[in-house]
Amino acid sequence: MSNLKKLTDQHKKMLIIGILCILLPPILTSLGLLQGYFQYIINITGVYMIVAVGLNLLLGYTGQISIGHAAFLAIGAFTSALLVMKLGINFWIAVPLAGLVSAVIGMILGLPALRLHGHYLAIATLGFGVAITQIMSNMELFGGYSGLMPPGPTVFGQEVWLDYNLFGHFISGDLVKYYVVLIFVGLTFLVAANIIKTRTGRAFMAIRDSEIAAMAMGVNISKYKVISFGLSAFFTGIAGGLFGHIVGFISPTDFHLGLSLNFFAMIVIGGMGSLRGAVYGAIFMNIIPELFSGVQHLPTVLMGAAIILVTLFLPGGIVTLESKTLMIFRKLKGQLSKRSVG
Amino acid sequence: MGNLKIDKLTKRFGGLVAIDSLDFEVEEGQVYGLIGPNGAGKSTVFNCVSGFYQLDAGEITFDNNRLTTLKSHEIIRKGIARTFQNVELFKNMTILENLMVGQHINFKTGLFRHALRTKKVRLEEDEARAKASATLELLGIGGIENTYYASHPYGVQKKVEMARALVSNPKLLLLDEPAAGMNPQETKEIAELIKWLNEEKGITVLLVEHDMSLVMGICDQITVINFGKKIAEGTPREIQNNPVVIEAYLGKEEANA
Ligand SMILES: Nc1ncnc2c1ncn2[C@@H]1O[C@H](COP(=O)(O)OP(=O)(O)O)[C@@H](O)[C@H]1O
Ligand SMILES: [Mg+2]
Repeated sequence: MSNLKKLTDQHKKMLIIGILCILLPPILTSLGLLQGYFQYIINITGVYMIVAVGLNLLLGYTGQISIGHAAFLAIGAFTSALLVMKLGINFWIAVPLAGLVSAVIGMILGLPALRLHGHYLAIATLGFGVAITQIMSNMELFGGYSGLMPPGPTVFGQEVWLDYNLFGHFISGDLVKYYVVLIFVGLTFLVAANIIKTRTGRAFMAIRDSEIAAMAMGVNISKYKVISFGLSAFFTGIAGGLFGHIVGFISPTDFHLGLSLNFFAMIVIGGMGSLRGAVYGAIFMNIIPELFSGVQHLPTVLMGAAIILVTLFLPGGIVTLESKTLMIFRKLKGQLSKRSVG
Repeated sequence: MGNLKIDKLTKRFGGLVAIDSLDFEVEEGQVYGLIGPNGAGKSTVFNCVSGFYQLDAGEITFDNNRLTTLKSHEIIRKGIARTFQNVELFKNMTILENLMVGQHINFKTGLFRHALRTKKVRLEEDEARAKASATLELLGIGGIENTYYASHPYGVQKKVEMARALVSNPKLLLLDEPAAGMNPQETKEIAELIKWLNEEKGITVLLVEHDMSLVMGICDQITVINFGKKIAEGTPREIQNNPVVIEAYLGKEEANA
C-alpha cells in the first residue's frame, strides 16, 4: 500500500494501461466481441508498434530518414526462423538474437548513410531495402519464393501456440500469441522511453535539431547516427522475429517496398518524435483498413483518403489530438462550473 | 599555460581570403576582444578554433595542444565551449534538455545503462538537471526549464546559449556577439556577467562583439581585424586612439552612407 502511494501519476497511468492490455482481450472474447481474425490483426499491430518505435528513434528522434525498414523486419524474421529451425535454438533466445543480427546490419548501413542527407538518404535506404529482399529471394537458405514456416515457441518443450480450455473458458492460440507480443511491446516501450530520457536520446535529438550545435557540445555525430541506425534495426529485427513465428509462414517477397512505406507512414501519421505517436500510427495503419474491409474494393481508397485527411488537418500527427482533446475537456469543464455557479 | 594561440591562420573560401595569416594569443585569465567591421572574419576565426573549418595554413593551439588535428566534437573536451552569432539552440528540445546536451561530455554512463536507466544514470541526470537550473538562475533567467527557446525574446535566447556553453565547465569561452539584440540594460548585465565569470570562476573569454561600450569596458586586450588581416592590437585605450582602427570603422560608415 505504501508502495502504491509512492507511484507518480505517470506510473499510475502506465499501470492502468498495462492492466487494460492484459484484461481487455479475454473479456472482449468471452463477450463475443473479439473474433479470431481480429485478434490476429491486433497481434500484428503489436508487432508493428515495435517497428514504429524503432523507426521513430531513427526518423523522429535522430532526424534520419529510412524507407527500407521492411528489410530489417525480413532480416529479423529469417534469422529467428533459421535459428529455431536449423539450430534448434529456443524462441525466447532466437528473437533477441535476431534483433542483434539486425542491429549489426543496421550499423553497417549507418556507415555509408553518414555521408547522406535528406532525399539521398531516403533513396539509399530504399535501395538497401529492395536489394536485401531481392538477394534473399534468390538464396536457397531462405526458402526462395516458397519461403519458410517458423514454428511457435515452446516452454519446457511444450508448444504454447495452442487453444486452451481454462475452467470452461476458451483461450485461443491467437490470444496466447497476443500475450507473447505484449511482453515484447512492453519491454520495447520501457527501453525506448529510458533511452530518450537520457544522454543517448538527447544526443539523437540534438543531431536532429542542429548538427553544428550538437558537435560544439561534444556530440560525436557519426557515432550517434550509427547507434541510432543500430537501435532502430534492433527493435525492427525483434519485431521481425516475432512476426515470423506468429504468422507461421514467411517469404522474402512479403517484405516489399510497400511495407517499408507503410512503416514510414505510421511515423508521420502517428507523430514524429513521440513514442505514443508510434502507437497511434501502428493502430491507424493496421486497424482502420480492417474497419473498411467490408466495403468491396474501397478499403485502399478510403485508407488513402484517411491518410490525406490526417496529414492535412493534423500536421504533427495523431498524437497532437491528445492536447487538443484535453483543451476541449478543460473548456467544457470550465463552462459547466460557470453554469453551476450561475 | 591555458593560452589560446592563433598562429599564421589562413582560411579561404574559393577565391576569397577570409582570414589572412592572422596571429594573436589569448592568455589564460584574460577577457580578449576580437573586433572588426562586418565580414572581417571574426566568426570564421571561431569556426576554425571549433574545428568546423579546415585551415588552409597556420596552426591553432590551446594549452599547448594542437586543435587543428581534432574533430569538432573533441574541441569541447579540451575545455573550449562556444556560442553562435545566430542562435543555434535545439528547437524541439526544452531549455532544460538544451542545457543537458551542454553537459554531454560530463556524463559517464553509456547506452546499456541508459536502456535500463540504472540508479547511476538517474543520479547523473539529477545532478545535471540541478546544474542546469542553477546556471539559468545565475544568468537571471531561472524557471524557464520546461519551455522552448522560440517562445522567448532574442536576449533571453542568447543567454540560454551562454548557459548551455557554461554548463560544460569550460576553461575558455568563445562568445560570438553575446549582446546582439539586447537593450542597454541587458547589455550591461551581460558585461557584468562576463566579468564575474572571468574573475570569480577563472574562465578565459574570447569575445566578438559590436557593442563598443561592452568591448572597451571589459576586455583586457583587443585585436582588430579587417578583411581577415590584423590591423591593430592593444589595450582598449590604445585601440580607441588608433587612427588605423578609426579609419577602418569610419571608412565602413562612409561606404554605408
Ligand atoms: N562558409 C562560408 N562560405 C563562404 N564564405 C564564407 C563562409 N563563412 C564566411 N564566409 C565569408 O568570409 C568572410 C568573413 O565572414 P565572417 O567570419 O562571418 O565575418 P564576421 O563574423 O567578422 O562578420 C565574409 O566575406 C563571408 O561572406
Ligand atoms: Mg560574425
